[in-house]
Amino acid sequence: MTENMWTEEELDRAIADQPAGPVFTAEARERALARMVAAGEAPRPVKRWLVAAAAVTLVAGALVAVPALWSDDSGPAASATETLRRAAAATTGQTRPSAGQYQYVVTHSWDLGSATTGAGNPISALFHSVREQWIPADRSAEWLERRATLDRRWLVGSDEQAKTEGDGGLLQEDTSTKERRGPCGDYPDVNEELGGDPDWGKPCAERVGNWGNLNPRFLSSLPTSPQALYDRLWSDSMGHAETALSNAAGVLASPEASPELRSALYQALQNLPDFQVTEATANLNGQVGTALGVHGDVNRYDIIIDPETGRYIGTRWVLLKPGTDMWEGLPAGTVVSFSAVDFAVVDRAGDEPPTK
Amino acid sequence: MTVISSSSRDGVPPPPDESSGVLETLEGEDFTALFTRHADELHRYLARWVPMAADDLVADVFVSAIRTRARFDSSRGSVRAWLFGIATNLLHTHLRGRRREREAYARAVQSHESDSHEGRVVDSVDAQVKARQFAVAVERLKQRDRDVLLLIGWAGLDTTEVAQVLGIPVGTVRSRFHRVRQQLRAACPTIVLENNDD
Repeated sequence: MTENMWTEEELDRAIADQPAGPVFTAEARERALARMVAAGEAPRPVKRWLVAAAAVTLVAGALVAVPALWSDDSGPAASATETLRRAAAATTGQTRPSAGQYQYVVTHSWDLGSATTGAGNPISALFHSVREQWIPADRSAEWLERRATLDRRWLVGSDEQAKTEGDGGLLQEDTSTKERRGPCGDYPDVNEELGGDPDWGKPCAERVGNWGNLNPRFLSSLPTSPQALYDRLWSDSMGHAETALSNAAGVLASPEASPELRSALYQALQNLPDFQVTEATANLNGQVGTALGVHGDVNRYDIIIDPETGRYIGTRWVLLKPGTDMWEGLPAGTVVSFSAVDFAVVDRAGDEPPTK
Repeated sequence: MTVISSSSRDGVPPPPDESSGVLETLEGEDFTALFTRHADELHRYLARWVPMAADDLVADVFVSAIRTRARFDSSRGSVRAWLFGIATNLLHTHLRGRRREREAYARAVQSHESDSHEGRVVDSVDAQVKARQFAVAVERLKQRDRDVLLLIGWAGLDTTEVAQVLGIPVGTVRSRFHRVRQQLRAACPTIVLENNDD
């Protein structure tokens, strides 16, 4: 390892050597163009385009779960409408902190990493990390966040292969716990002064929130009439089914969402175009639920819910085709990422709730 | 092409209510030409940041552009800078809710072949390790610094265009760019990567 400063050339090379990202396929390009044209022709896009998959969230009762690595796409046992209707009828809310207490939110994530060994072979693994947050009942007070990387699970390759052939930089993991504190969730290494979000720089109580940055004010502003809520969700998601589903999943994963809002959201999602049951009994390490998803070109984005209790289990990201590029060597059906979130109320920042 | 022709601002003003507006043919043609010219470079830029969302974000950029075309002011910068500005703002919003995607992709270090057959493997591994160190260091940058670095380094914008994108003086772009490069040159080698290829 070099201890000295990099040269300008080394830095330029490292910038250039960053993964280029997936190509803009002709199909994706056509869809993007069509969306633009539709936006220019109508108040709302009438075309509803499915999109590529996104990051994945799983809300689970167990704090630590091993991901199910495959989705069998076995098809629906019940319609999406029926599944969502049952979930809407059964849903409940989360326990909220009283004054002086903290909302504890823990997220266990499994994210794909891939590289090429020194011998030219693709290797990939799911990396398991944990993020804990303590959010005070008074959101303007100081929040605490801890992050750590835990372990990994190989999808293609092994520790032995990485050791023998070289890991291509894949296996670096700083396993130390990182801790950050800041009022209103403004941690010190986050800079948001570059516009784009009207809340940036505002006092905590004045922030209106949005789908990507949920807060009680935003959540309470959402309609609880299912149709009105769907109209708002669809409009704010600019007619993207996956974006709408992702935004909805964020609300379902929020401990601050009321039971009424959750129920309305399940009903609202009945209107989501091409939203289908994709697996009747999706098993995420014992967290069994019904998967409903939208298909993209390469991936499928699923949410998983328990229709009998209304509990939102999570979301996942499933590869639809044999992998290329960063998914090289992965067969279709591979669950390439997910995370698990759980909530509790604790008395002090830094306290962890008893294991369930 | 007279981009986003002046028709969208001068000759044919956009409808007062965007939500009820119908584009004139000329405007539609202009935007189609804009898409043809800039969609690919926007995608390349966005795909490095948020590979899974790049397709949609490119569409979002043009949807936003066509809906807010009245706000474009050619005296403040080029159409290219305007589009990258929209892309940057959409990217910020996207990343706030989906930071993990970028973090995950930062791990995805691809191989890069060297011209030297003899040293290909060694060079490739070294380049991958450095690229990974860089990715980790970039994740730790402040957003404002990261924008400047990557709008220049990845998008290929010049400092004047970046100033237009970010709405800051060009001198600030230059000083910020210099500072962040120095910062990275110092920080990257200190990031210890676990090497299993000993």
